[in-house]
Amino acid sequence: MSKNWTGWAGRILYIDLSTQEVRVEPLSEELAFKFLGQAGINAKLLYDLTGPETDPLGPDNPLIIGVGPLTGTMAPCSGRFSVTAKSPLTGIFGDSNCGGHWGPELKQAGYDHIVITGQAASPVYLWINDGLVQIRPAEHIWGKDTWETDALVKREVGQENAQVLSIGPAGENLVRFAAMICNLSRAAARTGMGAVMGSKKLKAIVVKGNRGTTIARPTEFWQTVGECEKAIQADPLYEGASTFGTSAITGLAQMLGFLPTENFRKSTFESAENLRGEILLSEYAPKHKGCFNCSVGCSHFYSVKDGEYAGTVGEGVEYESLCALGSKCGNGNLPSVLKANTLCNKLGLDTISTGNVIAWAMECGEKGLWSEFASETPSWGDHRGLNALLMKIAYRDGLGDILADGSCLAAQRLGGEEMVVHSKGMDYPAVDVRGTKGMALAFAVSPRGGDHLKGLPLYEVAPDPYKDDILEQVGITITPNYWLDYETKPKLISWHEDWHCVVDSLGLCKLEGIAIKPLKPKHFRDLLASATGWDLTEVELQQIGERIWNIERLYGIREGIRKEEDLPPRRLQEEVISSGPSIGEGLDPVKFSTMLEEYYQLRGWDQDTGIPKPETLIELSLPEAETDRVVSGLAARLERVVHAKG
Amino acid sequence: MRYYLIFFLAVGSRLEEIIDLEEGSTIGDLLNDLLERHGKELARRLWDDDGKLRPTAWILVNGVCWSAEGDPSDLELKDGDTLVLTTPMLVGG
Repeated sequence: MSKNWTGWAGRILYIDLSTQEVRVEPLSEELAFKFLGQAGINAKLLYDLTGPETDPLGPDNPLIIGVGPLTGTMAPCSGRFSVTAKSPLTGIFGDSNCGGHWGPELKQAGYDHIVITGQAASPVYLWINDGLVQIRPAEHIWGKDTWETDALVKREVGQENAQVLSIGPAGENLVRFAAMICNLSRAAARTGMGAVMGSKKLKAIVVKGNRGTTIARPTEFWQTVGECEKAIQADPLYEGASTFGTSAITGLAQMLGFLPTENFRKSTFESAENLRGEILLSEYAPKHKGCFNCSVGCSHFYSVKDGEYAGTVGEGVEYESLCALGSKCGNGNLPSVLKANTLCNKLGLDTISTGNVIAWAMECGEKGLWSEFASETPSWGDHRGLNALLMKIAYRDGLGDILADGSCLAAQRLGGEEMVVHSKGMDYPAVDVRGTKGMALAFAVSPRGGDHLKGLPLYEVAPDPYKDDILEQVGITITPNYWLDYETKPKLISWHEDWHCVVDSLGLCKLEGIAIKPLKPKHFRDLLASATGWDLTEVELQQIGERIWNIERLYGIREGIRKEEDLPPRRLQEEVISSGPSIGEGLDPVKFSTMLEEYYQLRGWDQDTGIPKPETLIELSLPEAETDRVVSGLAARLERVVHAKG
Repeated sequence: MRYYLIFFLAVGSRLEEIIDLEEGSTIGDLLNDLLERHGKELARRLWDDDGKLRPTAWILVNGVCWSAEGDPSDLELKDGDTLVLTTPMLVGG
């Protein structure tokens, strides 16, 4: 570890699985100071190492794993890491964020990033123990699920306290939305990073670190940590967040009429009561679980003791999974949702894309789109059929083989494209954005596709408790029924995007770092300054976020993304909400277009194409070479087909 | 009366209950009744130290949010009304 680095470890580990070369390079100051760490540096590395010719499942697609300067320190909620690669699901920017304890262990081992290229000749796993980096045979664990793998490799390396990041059969079988799993149930899930890992025949990355992390100004750091913890625990939503986690949202989404149901055909679900967090807590979740250094502890251990799914155990379950495997599939059987969630974790599947593709299949089956697979296609609410099809997806069996390529490719092959609910090839999360106009914008413009995390305006639906903070931080005055307004949303969203980039690059969890409450920009600035010795203003830190946002945008631009893909899914554009409290709500095309134009203006992007303007990139100190490359690409826009190289 | 999230906890992990009130009762009367039933655990989650209804206490009457800044004696309840007591916890993930 470099003596001069504090916060950061100061090292990047490069591993080529084709040649078995392992080397360590120092982290450059320029990279750290321009892109911060974790998601930001990952994005820049991916931008530099790949291009439109890169096959997402080929050896040249690097799997980049990164932690932030605050990961593994005693900063609150500092257990996060990011995984980045060209996505096999969308063909554009692939990026996934994960909690648990694996990321801090990598930092303790003395690395900020791992860049894995090439492809092993036969299955392998990595064992990283400080300066020791080994590529070990994994044929004997290829085919095991992630829970089995976790136990086996820890025994092999002789370290029960090692942290394991692995893929299950889904990643091995190159399911395009396969996930990477650590701590049995924490997932780097979206955009198919598990398939990239599987394409390299890499089964697991096992880490044990003993080096520690150096803090620049320890007394000041501890003081700031204390202030942050007080803010977190004094937040009026702390009790709810720590007790229920995201499962709290289900009941509210139903109440307010934005719970996606039956593949987004409806926005309320008659069995939503069964999927409420209160039911989970009182009947199935005896204990809480938290990630590294987190005083919220929002997750739960769950256990089903009776009935058809007795014996099901696991961790979670997040709102997104409750919706994806529940209401989106018309399934109100909570034990079956817990079973499906556990299966996704063991097999290594993104619950959101898995639930969405099954829901799409259910609707196609209902409409009689295919006779060949009719017997494999569950109907709405058929939880046994849902779990059976989930297994088939992981093992690419029958209909599962087609669905394993994701909703868009499956629809290109079987029909039903108009029923796929996606942006840029990635399935939509658990918000019916016809009722939340800001989220409609955020999800549509996200660089990784239909995504709820990169620009989430957390309090759009319930802004009143935070109206003073929103005014102070963002400069927006909340109006009644704010979530239905289009005005001011471009400013709200772009502000959140910048700060999400910062939080994702520092190593902090979004639950406490979604930038208005409980932690605010000043907290991020002070934590970074005291940990690293690098004093920035909030404006400078936000500009780093803006730079990261633009490099992620540029990645998609280079792959052919343009303005016409910054749109909500067709179903949500063309149909209004048909029932429930939000009945009649839709997305006004003129107002959405105006909102998008204002967003582009704020971002400094071309109004006709959505490409960041040269002057914007220059102001953000993104090299002019990129500017020229992108601008000249206007004349040669790639014909963009969702992962056509597949 | 239906209870969500921290109010579910406040009333002893109860999802809902029927509340009988006299004709002409208001939201204020209902809140006083709830206070008698469920005591401090509910009170501290509903009101701040100055006795004001917390902005994180949402009361919905027949699906419509009743403003915490409203006068509790303003809204008269009717037989068959469904009320929800919840907190606006909408965190992503």
